[in-house]
Amino acid sequence: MSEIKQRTKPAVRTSARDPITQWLDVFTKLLALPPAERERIRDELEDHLRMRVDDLMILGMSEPEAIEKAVTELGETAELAKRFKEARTSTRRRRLMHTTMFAAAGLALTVGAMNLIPSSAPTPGATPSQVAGEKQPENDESMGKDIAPGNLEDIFTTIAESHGVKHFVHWGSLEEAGVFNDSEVGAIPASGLSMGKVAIFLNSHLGLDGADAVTARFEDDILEFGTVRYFDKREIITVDHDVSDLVPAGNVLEYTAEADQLRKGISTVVEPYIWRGEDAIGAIVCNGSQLSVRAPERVQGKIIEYIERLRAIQHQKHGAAERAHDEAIALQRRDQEQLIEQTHKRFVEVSNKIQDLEQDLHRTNFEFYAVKLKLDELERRYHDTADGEERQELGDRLVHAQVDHGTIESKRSRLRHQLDVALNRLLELEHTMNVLQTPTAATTERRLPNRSGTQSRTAVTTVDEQRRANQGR
Amino acid sequence: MARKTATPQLTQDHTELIVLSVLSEGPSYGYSISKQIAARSEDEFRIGASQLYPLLTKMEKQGLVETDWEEIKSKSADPDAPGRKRKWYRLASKGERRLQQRIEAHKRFTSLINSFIATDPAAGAVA
Repeated sequence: MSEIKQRTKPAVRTSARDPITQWLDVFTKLLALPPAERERIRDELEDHLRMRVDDLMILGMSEPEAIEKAVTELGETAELAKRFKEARTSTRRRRLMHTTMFAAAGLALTVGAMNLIPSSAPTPGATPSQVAGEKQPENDESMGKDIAPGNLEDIFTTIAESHGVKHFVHWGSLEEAGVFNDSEVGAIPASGLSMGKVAIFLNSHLGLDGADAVTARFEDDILEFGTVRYFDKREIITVDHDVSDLVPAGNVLEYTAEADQLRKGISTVVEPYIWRGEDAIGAIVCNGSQLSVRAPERVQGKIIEYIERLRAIQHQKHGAAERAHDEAIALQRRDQEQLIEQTHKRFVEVSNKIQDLEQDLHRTNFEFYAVKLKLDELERRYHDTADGEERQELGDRLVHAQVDHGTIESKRSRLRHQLDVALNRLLELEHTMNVLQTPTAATTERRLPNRSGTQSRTAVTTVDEQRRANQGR
Repeated sequence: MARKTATPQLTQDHTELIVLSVLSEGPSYGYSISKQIAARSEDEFRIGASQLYPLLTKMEKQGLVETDWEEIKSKSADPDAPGRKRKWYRLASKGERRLQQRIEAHKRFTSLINSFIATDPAAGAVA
């Protein structure tokens, strides 16, 4: 392929920590492969991403949009890393890795882990040649024979021999877990069973689970046996996560309550044994909005999944809170409008009442002055007359007129009081409407109904004038 | 108005056949392979990077393809600085045999399917 060497290409925008580089850093750390192989996969994906970004930008996207789309197209990071690992893992390795997956995930997750391996079952409608033409390596994942009772060393030897590979046992790690080369293991009906199920029997016989469970790695054509704890210690990596959307920006090296919550969440939910006790091998440090996690490779993917789950929950919560806030504002607006409407209606009623009272007072005043004139006239005639009979009659009429005068005076006082009460009520209603119609944070965009505002301002002037006029009467 | 037909779903064997077929026409690299597949299928088949690159890795491990690296130098970049790397794939002889097997298997499969849908005497022809 020498003819394809040293082609040139237009300048590509790169920077030491551009988003593509950042994504590749995380992705590479999740690749559980030898360093040289990781770098080759990284180089190939970087070439793909930068070409894709160039194409998308030619189509009109901005650079950040193009990068986001190109990275999104690659799918979930941990899943992609797993696909590469599965693709690279040879037939024999894949079969043996099933044991590893079993031990790491534990009994309950074994079946799930096995399901992650690409199915080799013929698809419906596959031809005989498709089924028989090429032997699919994934088909052969079961042991060919049962394993007879024996000591642990014999069992490991049997498993390795059945797969035709050399093996090495990290006895130190197993002894820490309380099992030894001469630990007795009962018969395992391994024939036809997947390696994962064989491992279930093995760990069950030995009474091991969790970090103490036996697991295996296949490196450099040697099958290694040890505990989960041992391999976890050997496969520690550090991954930095940008959690600025989950943890409010704080000072560097400063723990916020949210950061502490996130740290506790991970250490409680994801493989708790890694973070606790004197033998803790993992560490979580939150510097500002950067979360640095030191943990075994197999756990890093789980941590990413946990953080993504938190993001999804926060997104849902945020959406629910926004909806509740909008509903509260809408309800508040409806209540407020109803209240304004009711207040306005009451304002009009009181205004009309005031008009009636004013008219009544006006008529009463007229009657009062008429009775007063009549009373003055009768008093004058009563004092001027010398006729006893006429004086008696004028005296009677005078008494009646005085009663009328008193009655009308009482009526005037009552009307004045009612008018004062009504005017005060009108002022209160005016004030209420002004308060209700004042724009608040929740109702900033709302505008006052012109009708109420204009009328109420006019009414206030009228009320004040009326009050002054009324007091002068 | 023409009825739109559903896009056929590719099995893993189909995907392998298509990639091998593209490479049988000459060396190519990942991004170019995915674009050729989309173009030749009128955008009906889209093999994403998350599917394509692991498949190419697997094919390399199985000896179906041979690979070579090219250094992409930017015109404006420092001539002494390392360039971006591009991985080229070329069909190996084992890959050519695998391609022929896949083609034969596909023909046989199609023939069997046709035997079910071409026997209606009233229709007189394959539907």
